[in-house]
Amino acid sequence: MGLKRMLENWSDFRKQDYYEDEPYMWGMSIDLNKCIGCGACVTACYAENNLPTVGKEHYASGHSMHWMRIERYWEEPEGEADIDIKESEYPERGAHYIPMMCQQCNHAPCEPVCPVAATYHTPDGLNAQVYNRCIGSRYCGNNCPYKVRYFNFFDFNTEIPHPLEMQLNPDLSVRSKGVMEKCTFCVQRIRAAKDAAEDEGHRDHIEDGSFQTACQQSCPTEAIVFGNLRDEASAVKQSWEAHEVELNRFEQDKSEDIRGYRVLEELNVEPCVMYLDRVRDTEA
Amino acid sequence: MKSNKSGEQEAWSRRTFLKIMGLGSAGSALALTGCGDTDIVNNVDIEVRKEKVEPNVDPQDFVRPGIAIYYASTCRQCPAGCGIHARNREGRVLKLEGNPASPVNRGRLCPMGQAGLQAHYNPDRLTKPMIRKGGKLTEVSWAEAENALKKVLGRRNGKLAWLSGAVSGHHAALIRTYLDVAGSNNSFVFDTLPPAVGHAANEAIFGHAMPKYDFDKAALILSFGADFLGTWMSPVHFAGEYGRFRAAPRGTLVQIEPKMTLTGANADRWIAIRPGTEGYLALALASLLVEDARYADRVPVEVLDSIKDADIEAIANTTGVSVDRIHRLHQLLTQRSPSLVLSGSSAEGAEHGSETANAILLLNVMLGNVGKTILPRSKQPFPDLAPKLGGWSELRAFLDGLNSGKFDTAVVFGSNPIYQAPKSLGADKAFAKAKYRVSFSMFPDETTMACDLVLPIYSYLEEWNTAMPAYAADDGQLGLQQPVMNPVFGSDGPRGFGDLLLGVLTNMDGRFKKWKDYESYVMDALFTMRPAMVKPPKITVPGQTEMEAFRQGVLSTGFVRLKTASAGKLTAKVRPVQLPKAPKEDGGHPFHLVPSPRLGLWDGRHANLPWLQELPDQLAEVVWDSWVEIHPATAKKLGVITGDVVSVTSSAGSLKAKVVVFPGVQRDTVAIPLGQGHTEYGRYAKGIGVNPYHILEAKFDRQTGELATHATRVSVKKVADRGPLVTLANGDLVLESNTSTQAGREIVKTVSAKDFDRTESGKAATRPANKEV
Repeated sequence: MGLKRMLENWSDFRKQDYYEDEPYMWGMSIDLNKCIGCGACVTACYAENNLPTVGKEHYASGHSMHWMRIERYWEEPEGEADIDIKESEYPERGAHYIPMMCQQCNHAPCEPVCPVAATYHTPDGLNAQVYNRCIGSRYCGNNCPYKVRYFNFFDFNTEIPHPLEMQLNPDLSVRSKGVMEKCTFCVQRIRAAKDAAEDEGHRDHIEDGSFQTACQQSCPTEAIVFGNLRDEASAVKQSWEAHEVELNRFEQDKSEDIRGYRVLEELNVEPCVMYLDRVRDTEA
Repeated sequence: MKSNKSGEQEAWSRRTFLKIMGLGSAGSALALTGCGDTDIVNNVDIEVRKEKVEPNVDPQDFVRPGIAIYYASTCRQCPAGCGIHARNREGRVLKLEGNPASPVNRGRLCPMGQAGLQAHYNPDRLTKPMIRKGGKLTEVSWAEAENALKKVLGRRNGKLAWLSGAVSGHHAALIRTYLDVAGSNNSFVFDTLPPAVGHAANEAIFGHAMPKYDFDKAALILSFGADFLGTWMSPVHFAGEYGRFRAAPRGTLVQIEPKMTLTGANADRWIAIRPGTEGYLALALASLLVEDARYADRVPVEVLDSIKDADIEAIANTTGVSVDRIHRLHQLLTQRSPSLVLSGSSAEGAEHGSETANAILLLNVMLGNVGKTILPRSKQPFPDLAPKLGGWSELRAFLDGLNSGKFDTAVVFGSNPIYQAPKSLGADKAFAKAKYRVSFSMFPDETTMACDLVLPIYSYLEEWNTAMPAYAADDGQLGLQQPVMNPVFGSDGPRGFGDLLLGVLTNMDGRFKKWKDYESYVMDALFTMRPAMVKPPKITVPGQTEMEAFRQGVLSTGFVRLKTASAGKLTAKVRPVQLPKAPKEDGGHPFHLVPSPRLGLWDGRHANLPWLQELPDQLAEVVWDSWVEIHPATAKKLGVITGDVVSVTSSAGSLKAKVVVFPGVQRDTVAIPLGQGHTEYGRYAKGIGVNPYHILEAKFDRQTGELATHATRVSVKKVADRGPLVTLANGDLVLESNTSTQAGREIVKTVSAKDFDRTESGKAATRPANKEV
């Protein structure tokens, strides 16, 4: 297809809700009022997704492979009205925690830059990575505003000492050197649930809550909700609605003080992860 | 598939039955291995490409290639005893999930629970027994080791001393039985983190070491250093409670401690306090409260006399908490009711720790929280199975006995005093005095490597057992532990602790011959206990005996509930506050040292699990290292920046580590995390960082004899310039500001609790359906 034809028919290619008839759009909601930053989700992700530990030296070089990480900030974002503590020499309102992983953007900046289409969008809204197509250009990681893509600089998984490798999950591959990887919303669990639903005769419907992502399942405070945003009855859809966050927007039309936002939403990358504001009692 | 067995096909379609079952429920335990091979280690090793592909036309019972099976069991990574479901595929355990039915963790797990797999599959696990020969530990055959074991333990010996880590359930019962048969009274339990001082204070005031807390009902939690989200008894349970506590209408959390813990990081107000002065602050609050007759009426006169007339200004000076703040705390306590005041390890870690805990708990009585947020407990019928959490006083008694020659044989199981105890306690020297030392251990830890006979034991994922949670969410819960796969190292490798000890017992006392192994001992015990259970679980399949039905039931649920007497009413017996005079400053050692535990490496026992080494510290974000947390103002005075190496010196010793300039630590305090500083313990732990326990002074709580963990004074001196410190920020050399700011990007947004309550009361949109997998 020539470039000319592509530009002429651009709106067809970039039509909003291209996959609108699909029964699934996977999304997440993370309540920062409940998140305590313990890291249970991080370790659960290592266990589920065959993430290697890289050791101190590699970690120092930025080779770590944590698909999910807990970011911790001290400073309040600008404009927060809590003057009371501004003067204090201690962080009296505690830390700011946010679990950060691939936001499964529907306008993903990582996708168009891949020279070999190793990263692409699935009809159910996942930003997928085809490991055996990836040539390791790392353009995608460079283009990701959340910095949640991780590159295999080495063959970490061949160096696992016996019998630690017996833990590896056979439901997904073990990645090798030169390949980019990232959070998949536990795609192996999604596929298994889809298969199971199809076996029972439901092609277009997986019952909400019939499976969970590894991070959601481990979260001690139940801060993470995952599910199908196209399913009106799903907990995640209801949470998005209650907190007035909609897809296909780069700015939400929200009532005052309603929590719910998408990180760096203004970039118009259409993340499928909604966060709910952290809450602090300013009278305490 | 066996197509001729239609009945079996039907059974398979019943998914709930299939998914949670007992290992060995059809035939022997060995039937579970994939491909009809019992040696998984050598034959199904996909990763090193040595897999033997065998046709699976007629697979073993309960193995369906490609289909995961879940076994219900109990987590033993800390004494909390969360229920787990272990996912097994083709004979290997791959993932641990929380058991949704368990009231302790309600289907959830913490990082340590997730990392249990790495303890189980750890490459540094001991696989062969060892005996010290010519001063060196040498691998020997099991026959030789068992002979040695029989020789040492298989006779009556009043001079035998037994040291366990926190223990409960049938392990505790079996150890006790053994010591009775061996004629020894010397049973000691030592674990570093369970709050022994707090338990003693609870016992004195409420008549129960561990009353029940109702977070959900509390409008305000005022916590003096109780890190209930991180390291306080049952982190996952309390985190779940915390989640409900924070739903609208939202409870408020105020945390008072010298070094910010995970709980402090989530507080609405975090208040830095000088270590050892928490009791004075509680006293100040109490003295402000007695001005109101409502509160004063709840305590007897002699107690009132001890708290009125406290000098608030002097207390503000001592504690470093301003007069204004004390008044506002008082105001908060009177406005938010019911509240819950907790006392934790940083408050209790002083020489006057018991008095401090008493002063803190007194606030609960004055505020009328007893019976509202602090609830009574009922006693479960089997005291032998109750959790024994132990403490430093027991370790001291153990070491004293070894030093004085009262004990000649030391047995260690699940405890590592040579690593954990301060050098000033002289654990290694005392240990060396024993004539013979035996260790039951999974890993080559410091204490094990100092023993004469080392017996490698099963991981908690290979062993039969029962366990009672340290903090029972529901009274009388008894968790069951079952092997979730065949032993990783085969029949020649480690053995079950229960089997080994039962073997010794059988030789000494014929009555124990009736159990062929520890599994039958546990199962028989549980079967006998059935009348004491609330609805004993049962899964009936035609043709099975009652025992088999019970067994299948209990293996599927993973725990049982024991009948308990009714809880009765909680009455508080308060004592006068008797705090010593405020401590003097120490010019030579101007700083307080806080050895801070964290969810992850815990007290150092998980330092050999790479997932946890690589999980950044929740506050400092450092991986694979030790560090010293210093407040920015103090760092400026000392002329140090993040990455500089400092020496931290107490009267009991000195250590070196890199500085992390850290705002969440009191100005006169330096904090060093626990967990590192191993000299043994395998490739992932050995040689990394330092252990702050090692330089603690031998100071003890006056009433309980527990180690005063927060009472050591230190001096800090810069010894070397900045070196690399590895943190989450992808290894940047982190200056104090580097990873702290959001630079106005609104990555984490915040709203006030008032707005939150207004907009979200009555909404339950964020609560997920908690269904079984």
